[in-house]
Amino acid sequence: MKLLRRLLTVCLALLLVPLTGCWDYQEAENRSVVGGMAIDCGTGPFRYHLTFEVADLSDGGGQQTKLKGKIIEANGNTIADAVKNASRVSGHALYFSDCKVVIFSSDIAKKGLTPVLDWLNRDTQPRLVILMMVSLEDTAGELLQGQPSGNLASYQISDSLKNLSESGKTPEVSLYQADDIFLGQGKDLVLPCLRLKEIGGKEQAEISGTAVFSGDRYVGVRNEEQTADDMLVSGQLHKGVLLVGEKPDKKNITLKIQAVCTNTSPQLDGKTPAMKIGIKTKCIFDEENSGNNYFAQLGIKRIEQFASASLEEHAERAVHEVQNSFGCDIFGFGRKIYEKDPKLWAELKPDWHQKFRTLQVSINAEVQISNTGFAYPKGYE
Amino acid sequence: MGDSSDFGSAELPSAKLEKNVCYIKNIFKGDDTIDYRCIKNNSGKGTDFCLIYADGMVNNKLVNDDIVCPLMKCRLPEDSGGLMETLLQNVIFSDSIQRTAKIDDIIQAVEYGDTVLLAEGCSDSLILNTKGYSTRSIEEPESERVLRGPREGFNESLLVNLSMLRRKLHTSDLKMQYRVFGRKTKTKACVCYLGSVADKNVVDELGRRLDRIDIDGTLDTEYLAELICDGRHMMLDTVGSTERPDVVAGKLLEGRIAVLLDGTPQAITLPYLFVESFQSDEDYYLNYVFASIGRFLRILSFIISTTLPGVYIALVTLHPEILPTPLFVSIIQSRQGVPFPTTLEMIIMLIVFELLRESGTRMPGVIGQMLGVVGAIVIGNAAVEAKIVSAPIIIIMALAGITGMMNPKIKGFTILTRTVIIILSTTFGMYGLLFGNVALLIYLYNVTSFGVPVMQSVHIEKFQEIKDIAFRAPWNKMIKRPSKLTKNTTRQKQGGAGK
Repeated sequence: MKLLRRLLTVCLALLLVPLTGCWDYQEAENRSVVGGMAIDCGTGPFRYHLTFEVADLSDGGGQQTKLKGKIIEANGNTIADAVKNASRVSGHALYFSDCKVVIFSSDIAKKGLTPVLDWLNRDTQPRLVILMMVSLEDTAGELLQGQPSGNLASYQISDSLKNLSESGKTPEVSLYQADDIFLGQGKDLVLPCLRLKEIGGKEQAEISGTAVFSGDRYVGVRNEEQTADDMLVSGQLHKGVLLVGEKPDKKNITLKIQAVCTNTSPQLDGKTPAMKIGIKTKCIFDEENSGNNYFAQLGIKRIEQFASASLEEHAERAVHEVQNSFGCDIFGFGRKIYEKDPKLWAELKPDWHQKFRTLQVSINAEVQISNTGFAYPKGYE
Repeated sequence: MGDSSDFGSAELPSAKLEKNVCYIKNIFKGDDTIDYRCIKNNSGKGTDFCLIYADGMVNNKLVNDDIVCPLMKCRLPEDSGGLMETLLQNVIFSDSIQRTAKIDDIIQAVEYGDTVLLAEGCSDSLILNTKGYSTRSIEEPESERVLRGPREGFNESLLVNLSMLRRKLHTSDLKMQYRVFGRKTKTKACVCYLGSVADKNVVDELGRRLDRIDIDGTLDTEYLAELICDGRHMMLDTVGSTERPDVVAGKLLEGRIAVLLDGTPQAITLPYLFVESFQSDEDYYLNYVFASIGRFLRILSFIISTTLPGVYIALVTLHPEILPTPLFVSIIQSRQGVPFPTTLEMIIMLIVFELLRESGTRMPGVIGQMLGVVGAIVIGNAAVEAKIVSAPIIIIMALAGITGMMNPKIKGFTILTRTVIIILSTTFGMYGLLFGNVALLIYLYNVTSFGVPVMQSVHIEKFQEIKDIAFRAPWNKMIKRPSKLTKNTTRQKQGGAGK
């Protein structure tokens, strides 16, 4: 009995080895930490040309050394193939868990993202929160070349995208969000765009506008201002500032946005579906640099009206532009209809892109200024 | 000549003084420290006496003033028949006199600092209490210093120790039973407990286990502790040990039993629950909030000390995706050029730490401190700069080492557990860590101390029982004694008297 028990214990202990699957023991220094990757169309017999930015940690040693990037390039017929080839170049296995951005060249994006995303979705190392972007330059790889000092280009891109996204200028789109759009209904993808800009005598990547996708194919670009308006309509704007003025060319009152509540409700009672968008914004009076003291002249109510009108105008313009030039439902109106009435959506779905172009959208914006920012408002009465 | 116990019930051979002295001299042959002082009393027809004692063990002033002087000056009766009786009643000034003819008793008395008086014409002897060997003064124990609370600690004399304990517990309920251990050492020991509180079964069980001890010598209570523990291969101490009378008194009040041994300041207490490893006597003397923080830190430090090196290895070598990028990058940077794998590095450094600790404790004060400094410089700087180990390993080692020192009662067990967990984490990563901890818990729940499971105190049925485990509740809330140790659980008749 005792022997049996001991035998069982040993067997159980040995079973741990095949069952745990922890075979990926690897010393830390034998991993090449990939900060970001760029996917381009390949040349010659290869379908893909991949550029990886890996952290160059060879001259470490515990002392304070700045993070430095190193570019590794590899070709392959599939993404996984190219990754294997890159490991051969680097000498160490590439390690993707800290990879923060993936950049697609416009050629790749035009051909469709689905095949490219498959490896990112399947492999265990790349995370689902990896940020996706489209290059506006000839290739995607060149965006990783401009090395900022003390950081990886990829990490700088991801940091600045996070900042822009927080202030409501550009949306940040992770892999899982793209998957959600591809697998779900009634919404089209937008991805932030990157272009090169000379900063301090060095060409570095900068985020500029968004790329609009129809299905998984890249169809066009929205510039920075248009992107900000798009975010307002799709309810992704949470922070930032509003410039308001009596006339469109004289905007010298700044309102700081505290909270935005965008309420998109499909109107399905009529013959054709329509959209009603209510945008409620709470602001702080942040700056007034006309020297005319509009605040005293006009009063809060008028400024609120100006601001509301300006918001409405921006939102309406954004919707019309998208409807007319792309016909891609980047605001997710289709999804709202699907959520409210799936049967109706099934009817609309086949030619939604056509219907979207003519969709009636009414926008109502409401701005509320909650405080003036002055401790002594009496002097300004 | 064999063991002194070989004499069994042998008695002094005759009434002739010369013959008896010769007999005893023969027993102590080869021992030059035994003094034989012959005295003659000239009153009456004149009587010869012989005092036998071990030099250095007796108080010479006592022997001179209270034994030699009266023997020389007194007037003795004519007939030698009632001589011993007269000496015992009228002559000798001694608080404790035993009359015996047994050779065994005589030998033990001499060895223990008593004086044996033999007289011409008497076939028995008087054993006179003249113990006067010097002992260490009562000091605060080095290893159990406190900020607040009693500062006295046991010394090497059993009687002094018992008196210290007696001073804490003025009750007839305090039972103190002598025992003798060691065929050669004949070390006296005393089993102490509170009759109405201690569990009778445990007292009986202890008695049975102590009876079974048959060893030539017991120089410290650890001999006893290992001989009476529950299993034969106990990695975990199942008997507590302390140098402080207040701790022993506290344990007795909770229903435990203490064994004190002559010649060592360490008293053992039992049964020993695992949670006692995290309790300090100071917990009960300081404000309960502060004490609870201290206890929480001790439990935390046990967990850190056993698992942190394993966690580090698992994270760095198997699951780096859990680490934040900057941390992982800096670990890689510091690992550049280090020749050894992370696990080996860790084991080397932990061994170095234990080496430094061990050499530091065995060295006299100043050298010990110097060793610490040299060790810190060598490890902290040189090893990293020479790229023998990476910097994070030093941090982990220092943390694991220091937290390990926080619970000195389970130091050995901590090192053992840590090593096992390092091996498991290296091979199986986080799984190994998890399984290691599960195995540790299963083991702990299987250990018993005198029939009481050591983890019993952690298995809680009533809220009252948690009050002295994870934290130390204020005294007015600790109404009951630990129910696993005693059936008489009423510590306070009414809780919260200070309202």
